Amino acid sequence: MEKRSYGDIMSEVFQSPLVEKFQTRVRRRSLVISMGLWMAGITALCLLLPEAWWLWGPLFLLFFPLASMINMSVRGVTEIPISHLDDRLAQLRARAFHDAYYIGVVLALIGGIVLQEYLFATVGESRPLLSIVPIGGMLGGFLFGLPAVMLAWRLPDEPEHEEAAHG
Amino acid sequence: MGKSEKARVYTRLPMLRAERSLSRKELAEILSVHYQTIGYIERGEFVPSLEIALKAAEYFGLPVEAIFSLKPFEPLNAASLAGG
Repeated sequence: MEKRSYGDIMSEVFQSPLVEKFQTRVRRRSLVISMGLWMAGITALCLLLPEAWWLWGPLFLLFFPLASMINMSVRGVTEIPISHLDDRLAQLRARAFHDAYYIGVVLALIGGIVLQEYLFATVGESRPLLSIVPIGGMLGGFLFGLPAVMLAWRLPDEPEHEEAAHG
Repeated sequence: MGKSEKARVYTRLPMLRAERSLSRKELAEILSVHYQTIGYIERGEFVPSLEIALKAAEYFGLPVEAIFSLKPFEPLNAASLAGG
């Protein structure tokens, strides 16, 4: 049996008909909005109900299906090794990582400043350190997936006839 | 051409595909690209690499400039065929 590389398997997975269902602009953007709502939910929970730590686990589990669906919606362009992408998809991937780098640096700086304010600038007020751990984890996961998120937001709809691959 | 102006490459790929009854998917497999990339090239939204252009030229048995051009192709007519 021929040994298949990781890139071959990933390319095949992201070309499957099941994956194509996610590849409309409306669905892509809905997924990005869902990711935003998920982040807002985690943040609100951690800040408003820090004692409800038992809710973090189930909420965190939502990240994985959301991130997977976003990856599917962009055909896994940010996941498939570059050697398995054609020129156009490789350019899309490079641009997504390039832009995500700058936005990620800005977001990380803002996150750092907010964290510092939250932890040290509230004299006399008790802030449970544990409650910011999930926010940090969420931001880390979001930054890691930012190239795919940005691509999902930007990619246009493919012309209908192309989905049938004929014409 | 100014720096901000994107190069547009015109192509005869749709005509050549139609002549040979090739779908985008089939041509994409021949050229080792994603089938949507063929659509982007045909619409002039993506400038193909030299590798893709040479592969297409080899497959269709035509010079690259007969398939891709920086200027719109003249429509084929009796006069152009007679002129060679």
